[in-house]
Amino acid sequence: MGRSLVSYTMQCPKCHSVMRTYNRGGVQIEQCDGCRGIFLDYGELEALTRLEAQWHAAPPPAAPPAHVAQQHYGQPAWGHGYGHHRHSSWAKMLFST
Amino acid sequence: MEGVPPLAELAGVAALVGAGEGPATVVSARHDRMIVRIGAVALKVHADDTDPAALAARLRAAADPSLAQVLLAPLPLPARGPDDATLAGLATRVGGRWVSAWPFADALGLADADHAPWERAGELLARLHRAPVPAGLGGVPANPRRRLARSVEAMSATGLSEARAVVLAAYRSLPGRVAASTVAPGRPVALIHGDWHMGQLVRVGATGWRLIDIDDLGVGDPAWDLARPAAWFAAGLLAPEDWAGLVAAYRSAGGPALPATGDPWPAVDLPARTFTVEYAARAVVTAGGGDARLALPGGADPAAGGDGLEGLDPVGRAFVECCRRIAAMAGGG
Repeated sequence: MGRSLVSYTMQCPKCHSVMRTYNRGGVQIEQCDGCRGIFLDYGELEALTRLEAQWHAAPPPAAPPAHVAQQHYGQPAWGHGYGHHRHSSWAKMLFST
Repeated sequence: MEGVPPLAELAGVAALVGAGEGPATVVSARHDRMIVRIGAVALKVHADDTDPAALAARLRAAADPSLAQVLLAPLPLPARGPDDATLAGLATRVGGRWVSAWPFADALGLADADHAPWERAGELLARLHRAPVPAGLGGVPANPRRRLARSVEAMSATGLSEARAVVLAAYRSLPGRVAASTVAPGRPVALIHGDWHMGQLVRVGATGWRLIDIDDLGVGDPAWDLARPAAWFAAGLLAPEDWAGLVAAYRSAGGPALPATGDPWPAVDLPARTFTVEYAARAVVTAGGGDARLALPGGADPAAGGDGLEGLDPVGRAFVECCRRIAAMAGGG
């Protein structure tokens, strides 16, 4: 899915990083560059819910193009969603036993 | 650390390998081992329970020209006298400890966190895992689980009873939790690092990156070298694009731990669960060791009330919450 970059004007209410606006299926959502939190304006959640319902009702989508540069993988069922933590709070773990 | 050789004696060893001028600086010290920089040389004082035969085999492997593009090579240590004990000419006995010498190279650290070289790491690990197992290491298993039971036992002294019970249940659900070897039916067997994380990468001049710290090098299931990043990804700490970058680079370099295509998760699930339990246990020990309620980093967690996990910092909570689901999926341990 292509993303169209619109603006950088909002600041994340949680971590105060810059938020970018993306267009997902015609719905504008703001996502924080820092914590990846998502901000929805009034009515956007309902719009996304409608899109989801259409998705479930629609026939299976066509296969993605064969030359995807990088695949993304799902977390295991026991995982903990990404984006709850600032990088600095766990970065030490990256470099130590 | 107990029984560390005096720095003056270490400076004498460094002089033998042409360290040049420079003060002796402790680069890193843990309870069991120490690294000292003198001039252009890093000396490693190995743990006092080091098995000399295994250390000799590991040092020979790191010095093997066939692994020169993967592992940093140790410096040959000439004997200091007729009574001097050496291991394969690559470690010498100083003050009751084995000491090896290495060209000094900067390891990655906190400043590199936001642009850590995940692709280089994937390539290096794949190259290590594809290398023929050096003859001397055939009988030396890597044991990435060697701190697991100790970490879980250390929780018994803490007051965080709910978190402790959750982690213990997840621990008891882990197959092979006390096994010294990771070799498993249906899984590849390779030369593995045994203690891999981003701090085990150094940049060497213009020629690229190398892996350091051979103390856990041995034979095992190569998926265990991906266990820590997999656990970070599962706990929601490592960005999905970093995990994907590591996986893609590892695969394109022909790494045997993962299937060539498709979801890599089944291959790393057990190693990731195991390290999740170890990280959770260590977080419980850290939080329970002092009055952690007074020192929640990042302030109070709004989700912290009433679930028995109060006192853990948010990262520790993430690991403990993963443990809750690991235990539940295994039928409650």
